[in-house]
Amino acid sequence: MGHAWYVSTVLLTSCGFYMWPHTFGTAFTARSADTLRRNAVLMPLYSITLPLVFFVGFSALIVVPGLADGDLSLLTVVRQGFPPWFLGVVGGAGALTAMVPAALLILTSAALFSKNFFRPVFAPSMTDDQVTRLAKGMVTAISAAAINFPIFKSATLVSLLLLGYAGVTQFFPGVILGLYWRRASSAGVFAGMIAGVAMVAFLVLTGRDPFLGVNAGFLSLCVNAAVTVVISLLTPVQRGGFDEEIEEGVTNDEPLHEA
Amino acid sequence: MKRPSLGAIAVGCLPLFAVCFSVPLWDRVHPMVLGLPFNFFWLILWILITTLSCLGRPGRWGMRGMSLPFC
Repeated sequence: MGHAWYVSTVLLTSCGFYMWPHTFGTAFTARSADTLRRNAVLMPLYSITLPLVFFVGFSALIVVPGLADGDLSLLTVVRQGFPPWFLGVVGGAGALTAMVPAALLILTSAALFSKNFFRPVFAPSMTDDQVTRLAKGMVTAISAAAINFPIFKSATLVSLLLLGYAGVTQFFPGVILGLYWRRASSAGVFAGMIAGVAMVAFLVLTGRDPFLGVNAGFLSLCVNAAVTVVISLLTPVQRGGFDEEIEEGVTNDEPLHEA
Repeated sequence: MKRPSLGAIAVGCLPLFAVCFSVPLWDRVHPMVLGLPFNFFWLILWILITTLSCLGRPGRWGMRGMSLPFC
């Protein structure tokens, strides 16, 4: 994996950062544009803890050279250097740090799937109770699918994260063009997302990631954006968009952006 | 919505160029800085620079009066 892969992966992850189900919802319900700005500025400070992960990896290289499974480096180093009870503490902390974001992600995805996708598209007559039951079922299904990857597919945790980004970033062209480009149409956005996700699935499942030295998710993102633009230009201009509501004064009780 | 000035956009793009497109320039192990390989040190450095430089004009976006360590 060379520099082209690095650059394309950085671009992919920075486009996809706000596209995760849990961040997406909070970003769009933020109190004001300033709240988002403040978050974007202070967020990098949180990532200052990420180098610690590298330190663990470097220590593992020295303490247990030739470790077969890199994901086990922390636990192996702790087992070698600390009493057994401490290994339990570290393992427990690890499980907790995994479960908290996982719970958030799984709950949001399950609720979004049942309420915003399944009910309006497939079964408009569903009651709220049925939606709740479906969401609970989806929690189990998503968890099972998620557990399947690290245990049976022998992928590293980092490659799983990048795989997640490759999929979730396919929302990016639709969101950005939908907000800033009046010609964007829902047909274009749908076609783009389907093209992007299909391409990611094809490249990843056939073992073509990285493709020609470039991150497969990033290539799919480019195809996705191109398809979105072309189909949007081919479909008639959509009325009743966000801009028009603002112009008509429907949402003018409070200014959306400061002047 | 007020469009950001060209200068602001340029400053905003700076971290992206520093940690993304310029990778062939700094992707090396030596010289080691503070015991870290140079590329690793460079990335950590830019995490700090990004945040600190964005805090430069806090009054502009509603942080006036907030007690932040860097304002």
